[in-house]
Amino acid sequence: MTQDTTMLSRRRFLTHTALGLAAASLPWSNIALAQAATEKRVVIVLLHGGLDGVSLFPPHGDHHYRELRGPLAIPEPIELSEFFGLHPAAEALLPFWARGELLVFPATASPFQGTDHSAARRVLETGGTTSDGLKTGWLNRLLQGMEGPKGLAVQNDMPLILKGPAATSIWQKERLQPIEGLHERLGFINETDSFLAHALSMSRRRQLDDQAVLPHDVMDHTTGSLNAFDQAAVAPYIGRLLATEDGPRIAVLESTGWDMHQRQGAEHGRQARRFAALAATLEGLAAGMGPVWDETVVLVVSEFGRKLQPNAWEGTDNGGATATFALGGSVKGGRFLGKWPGLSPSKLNNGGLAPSMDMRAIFKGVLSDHLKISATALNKSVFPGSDDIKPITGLIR
Amino acid sequence: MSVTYPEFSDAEIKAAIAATRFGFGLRPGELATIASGPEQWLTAQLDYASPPPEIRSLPNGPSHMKRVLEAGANRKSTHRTFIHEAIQQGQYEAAQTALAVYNSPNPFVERLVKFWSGHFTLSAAKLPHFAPLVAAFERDAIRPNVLGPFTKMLLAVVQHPAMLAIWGNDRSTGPMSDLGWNGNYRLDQTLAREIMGRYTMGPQGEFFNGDVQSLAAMLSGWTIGSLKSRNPGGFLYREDWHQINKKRFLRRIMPEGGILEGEAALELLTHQESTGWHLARSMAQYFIADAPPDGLVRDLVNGYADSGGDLKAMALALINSGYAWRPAVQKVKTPEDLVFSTFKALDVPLTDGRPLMRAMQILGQPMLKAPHRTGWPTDAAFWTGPDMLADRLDWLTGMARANGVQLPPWQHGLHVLGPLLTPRTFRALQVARDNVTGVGTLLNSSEFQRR
Repeated sequence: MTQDTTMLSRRRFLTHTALGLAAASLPWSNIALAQAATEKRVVIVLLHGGLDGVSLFPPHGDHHYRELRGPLAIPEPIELSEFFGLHPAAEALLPFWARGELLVFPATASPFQGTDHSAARRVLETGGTTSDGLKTGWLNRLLQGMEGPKGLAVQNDMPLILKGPAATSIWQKERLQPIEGLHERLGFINETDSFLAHALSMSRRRQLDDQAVLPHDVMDHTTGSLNAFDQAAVAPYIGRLLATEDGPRIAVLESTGWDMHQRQGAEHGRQARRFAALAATLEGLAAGMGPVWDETVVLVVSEFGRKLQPNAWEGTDNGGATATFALGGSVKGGRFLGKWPGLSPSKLNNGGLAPSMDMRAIFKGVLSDHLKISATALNKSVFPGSDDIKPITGLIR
Repeated sequence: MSVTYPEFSDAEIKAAIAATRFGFGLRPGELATIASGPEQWLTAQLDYASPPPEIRSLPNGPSHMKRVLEAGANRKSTHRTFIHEAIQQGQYEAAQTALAVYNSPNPFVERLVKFWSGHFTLSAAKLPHFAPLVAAFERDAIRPNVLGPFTKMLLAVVQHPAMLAIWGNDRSTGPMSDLGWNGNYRLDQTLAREIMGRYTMGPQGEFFNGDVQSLAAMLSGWTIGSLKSRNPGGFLYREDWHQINKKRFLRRIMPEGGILEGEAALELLTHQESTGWHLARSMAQYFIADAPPDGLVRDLVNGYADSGGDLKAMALALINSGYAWRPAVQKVKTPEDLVFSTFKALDVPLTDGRPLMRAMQILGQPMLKAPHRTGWPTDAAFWTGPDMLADRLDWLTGMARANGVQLPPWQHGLHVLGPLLTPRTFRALQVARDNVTGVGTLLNSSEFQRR
């Protein structure tokens, strides 16, 4: 009942605003308006679960790679440089690379050095050094210091990275809620199709088995249920919204399902399909944004990476450095930055890639050069306690 | 307030089947138009003449092959640039191809093109820089011949530079040829084996290793023109590579005749009885059911044989076969089927084919990258394994989230599936608590998962 009344009031709001016409071109736009003080856009694509950077950007030039990864090694990555490649399923990223709009940091980490998702997420999203230090998100603290722009979240609940006193909103929140009981409903309506009903039940059973095997690792589904496939479907619309004059300037797209503990696959399979979805998301965002892509930096970020050796379920376990990458018309890309720590046994960090760069250095570099945020603001407010982390320079055109 | 499940006319039932089984699905509003004459809607499409505007100006196979040859001749440092350009060009051509299918007023013809393309599967899976060539192959060799004599398609296919390169026939030299007499011979039987075992007579055809060898000998010298030749990147017959002797093929002695030997052999293969059966069974499996009824296969064989191997006659035989119109939906949609029908069901306006192309990649069936020797499986089990199915359902739910539908879900369901929507699902759509749940339920239903 409350849903109906909010829908009704939004519709009334839309017909009465000057923006009603522009909003009508997007079927359900209902974002509150704000005067933007900047033309620059920053989009954070937050991948929860632990992105396997080593599969997305295989270090084909490292002769330990194939041996370590075994059956999970990508047989023929698209060669980007002498040392690094791109997973073929993510070939949609190739045009960005060719135009110099893709910049990759292959061995990054937050100050958190463990394997627990929740703690790692808190450190990453609060921009602090411990998981119980700060209570607000660093993007929110950034917004507090900026005149005008509001933060937009594409998730069914406000992510921690945007939580705080600065004004934020959620895109189409009612459309992004988990669909309750979908499996049961499908089981019912497909009951007479014995083949599909059986296939559905096998699929469901496997999902539950996966969760049962690693109960301590189950993602906190109440704060975010969008997956990579949802992201890919909504991306063009978010892109178009970000391009509107009165639209948001800072956005966060968040998805779960990146923790490949089981049946990761190499060239094909579960992870490959998610890589394809991620690449499609980024391509869709850029396409939707049109000319404002030139003013944009998208940062793809994850709480940690994955161990090099496969585990017992043909997947990989949490841990180690991950790849962080930036895309955008404003990005000075076409390169891999940061020292490659190496994959020989002595160089690995508890089975995972050793980090050679703090993620905050990247964030500070982007915020400083792209949004012109002062060093004082960055060190005191956005990333308190990060005085020793020098921002990476030269990331922005 | 509940709406009763409507009554449907025979014409509406046939229209829904025509659109979803012979075509790529219904856009809201289309059912009524097609119901005014479902069979006519299909047969009228067979007067198809010119290629769709989206792909009309794309380069042909020989142009792409020329770029490959030029890159091969260049310094190694430019190879990576060439590969990146070729991969991107391949993506562009795939996107345009997908857009052409999506926008086409002739979805039955588009499905025929996809079927025959799959029959002669070429793949850039192992050779990503060949993607533009594989895309061109469908445009050059398949599409223009999809409603003509099978012989013509077969010849165009075998002579296409993509086919010759990928199956290695471009190096095939007979031991008794001018070149081979020096000891520099390599008679490659791979293409010949594919032609007999997959493209014509099929695995149940009665032919022997000797026949494959003879065919290979007849096709020796069928190569790709070098950059300096009179047809760079295109088909070239080299007499000096051709095996000169009489070949024994399918229980007859083939007279010596240079390039005419290969042409005669392909023509002969077209008219073999087992070829008719193999093509008919493949078509029946692709269009109607993984285990098609014998009567349907027989109808298609007759269509093929009675017309001397004409593919338009075969398409007409499909339209006219009673077995093709049974209301029970059977084939589980492949990702390709699912992507086109989902975008159509949601009436997503597209000016670029990339979202379609990416969606197929996301669902595990990337365009131009079929498994190398076998092509894409079309049987249900492959596409509905536990992990594949979970991701498929997630993608459909994502599409339901992103693309709002103006009509109430039960009404939308009737537009998209018509009589194929079951009363059970119809009820579920009526009680769906919101738009996303309703559309998500429709897309994930068994009726929408099949065609």
